[in-house]
Amino acid sequence: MALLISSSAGRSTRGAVRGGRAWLCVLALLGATLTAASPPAAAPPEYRIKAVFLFNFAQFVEWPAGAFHDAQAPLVIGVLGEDPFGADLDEAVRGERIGGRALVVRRCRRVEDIGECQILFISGSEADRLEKILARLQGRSLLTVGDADNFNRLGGMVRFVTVNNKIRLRINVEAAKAAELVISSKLLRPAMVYNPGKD
Amino acid sequence: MAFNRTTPIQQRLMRIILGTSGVVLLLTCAAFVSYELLTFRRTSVRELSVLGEIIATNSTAALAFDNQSDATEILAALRAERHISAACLYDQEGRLFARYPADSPEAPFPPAPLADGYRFAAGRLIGFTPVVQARGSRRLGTLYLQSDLEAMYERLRLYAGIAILVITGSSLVAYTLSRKLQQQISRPILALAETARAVSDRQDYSVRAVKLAEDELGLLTDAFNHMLGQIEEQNLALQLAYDDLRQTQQLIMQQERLRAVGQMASGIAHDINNAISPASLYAESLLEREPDLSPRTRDYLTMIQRSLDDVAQTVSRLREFYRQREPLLALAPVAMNRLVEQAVELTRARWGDLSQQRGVMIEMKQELAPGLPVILGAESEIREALINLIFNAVDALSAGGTITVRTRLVGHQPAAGSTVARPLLCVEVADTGPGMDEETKRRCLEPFFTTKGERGTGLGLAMVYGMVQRHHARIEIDSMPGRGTTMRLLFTLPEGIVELPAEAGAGLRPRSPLRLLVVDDDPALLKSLNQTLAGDGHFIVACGGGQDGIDAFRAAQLAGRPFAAVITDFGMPQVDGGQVAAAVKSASPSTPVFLLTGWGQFFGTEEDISSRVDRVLNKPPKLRELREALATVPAPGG
Repeated sequence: MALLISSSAGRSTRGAVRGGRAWLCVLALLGATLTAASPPAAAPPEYRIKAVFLFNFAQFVEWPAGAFHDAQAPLVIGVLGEDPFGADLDEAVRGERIGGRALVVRRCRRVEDIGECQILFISGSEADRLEKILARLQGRSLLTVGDADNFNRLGGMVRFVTVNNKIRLRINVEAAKAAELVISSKLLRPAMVYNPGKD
Repeated sequence: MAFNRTTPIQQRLMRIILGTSGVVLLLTCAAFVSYELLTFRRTSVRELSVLGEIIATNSTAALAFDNQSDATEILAALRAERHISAACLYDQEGRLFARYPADSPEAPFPPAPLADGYRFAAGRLIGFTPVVQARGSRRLGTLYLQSDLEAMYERLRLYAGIAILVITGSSLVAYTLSRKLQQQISRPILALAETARAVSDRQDYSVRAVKLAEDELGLLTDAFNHMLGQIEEQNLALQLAYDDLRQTQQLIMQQERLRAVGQMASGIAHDINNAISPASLYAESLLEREPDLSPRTRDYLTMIQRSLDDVAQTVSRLREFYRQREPLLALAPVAMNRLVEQAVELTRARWGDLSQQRGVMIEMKQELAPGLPVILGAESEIREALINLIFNAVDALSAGGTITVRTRLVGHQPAAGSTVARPLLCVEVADTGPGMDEETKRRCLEPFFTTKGERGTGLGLAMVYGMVQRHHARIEIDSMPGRGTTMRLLFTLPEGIVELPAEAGAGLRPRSPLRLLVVDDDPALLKSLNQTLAGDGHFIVACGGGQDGIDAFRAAQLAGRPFAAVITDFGMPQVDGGQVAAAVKSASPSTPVFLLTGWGQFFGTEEDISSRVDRVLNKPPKLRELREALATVPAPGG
């Protein structure tokens, strides 16, 4: 029991807890006391969240048919430059499928090497070449994601912004439109929309 | 539906009707409400799940990108839905992510999501909906919704209100309708019950229930009325039978008394008659046969004879009332008007001079119908009865008044058992005295019942009654207090024409000597008879008992010297005069038998004894009567 509660307070609980209403009542009581007593769960490292976010983009963005070379082609998440995610990204996509497509993570050093790719995270290591890289990717149906301050201004589509210790999104809708990407309005709700001239 | 045993039928019917319609309505309402509630629950679940779906779909991005404020904002939209009391979102790991209302404590939410789906729990509808982005396969979190079911309760209250209204309304309508309709059944029953109560309360069987319809109740009413009719009829018959029985009982009691008194009187009469018979016979015999008697002796003997006649007369009056079954009543043609005149004449002293001396005026009127037919009867008895009636009338008129004696023929009133209706001869003695009340009227015929105190013997009317019985006549008494009294004797007329006999010639000579058998158990009487008859020259064989007499008669027959006639006493121990007469008549039917009687016995139910004897002679026997009888005997050998 205590084990169950602590695990639910800590990590995954999906399907872990089953029970009747009695359980519910007891759990509600115990849970309330436990949550109040136990220290707040340690926030996951920044890039683990970002890795999950990268995967989540795949669910809220629609690519034109030309972005894939066939119907079975996997959805590729590319990481350009130094990989800050480590195994987290691979973990985030493992076993997942979006619209029938498998998910693949591809890492590369040079923008020329990215090949067919639908989501591209441009690592902070490429800050100096960022403008060039983005300019080169112009015209490709590819969601660019980064966390550099000027990322949106330079034409990057989604930027991770840290606000109050939370990771927020700022989206350059114009750039995405230009790349023929359809970003779900739902994605725009929790996100900030980039305004040229500001920022 | 419980009824008190005394609940009136109207109320029962009303309760049955109202109860039935109420139950039906209640069931209908219950079914309707249950159906509505069931439907409503299903609808509620569907509505909540749709709402959950919408919210879940909207909150995918907020969960996917970990934006709590956005998620809270989305949940806040639930404000529009009043019945959502709480909602929250759990993230992928099952942690509480956002809640509604935003300021609510965590406590009301399950600490972690449970199985998906919607269910009713603790009076609320709760549900968990997975939050999944359409294109993705990954579950982003879970939405929890909680509806407080207030809508359901609200609807329930509405339904309850409607049901109460409907039931009240229809009960009112049912009440009004059934008040009218139940009368169809209850009215005839109540009418019947009312009649039954009237019958039992007042014992009045003449009331009838009113029939209201031709149905089973109408049939019941008819049957009830028919029953009442029968009861009424039978009641009447019973009453008549009872009255009849009472009258008969009184009659029998009256007769019983008469019988008891008669038995006593007859015993005395018999003894007296027997005792004076020798004295009477010897006195008569001496006076007739001894011409040399001194004038003084003759005078004394005459006095003795007259005294004995008076004794016999007194005794005969005593015996009058017990002779109701007297078989020896000698009936002779009687002219009623002559008897009435004699009775009036004989009583003149009482209503004439005597009453005038006391300053009382009594008027005697005779209204005698001329040309009345002759009846058969005993003259002396009827005369005596009339005298008694007149005496009673005189006694009743202590303050003066009128006595009316009437004779007439009255219309034929068929007597019971008689097929031929003949007119009756009616003799009335009416006075204008104070009359009699019912009690006196009923008892006046009883022996020893008197209203005259010390002066009365209570035998007068009893004797009249005895005479009436013996003559198969009737007596009627019309009397009311203050209206006088009328005593009415009704005699039946004989069949055929009856002529009055010519006056009997007196002074019969003793006839030629006869051989006679004389039987009597009284030795003195036997001896006196023997000597008296022997004095007339007859040859006498005297026997002291019935059997001796029969033996002597048979012996004489066998010896070829039969008796010319037999004179026998009636009342004897063992073998009585009747048997002697029977034996004589069976041996020699032509031999005359004369029966002497002192009226001492009541006879049994023997056949009419007078048909077997040739003449009945009263004690004390008179020499004259004996000679009369013997004069009818045919000469021996002739």
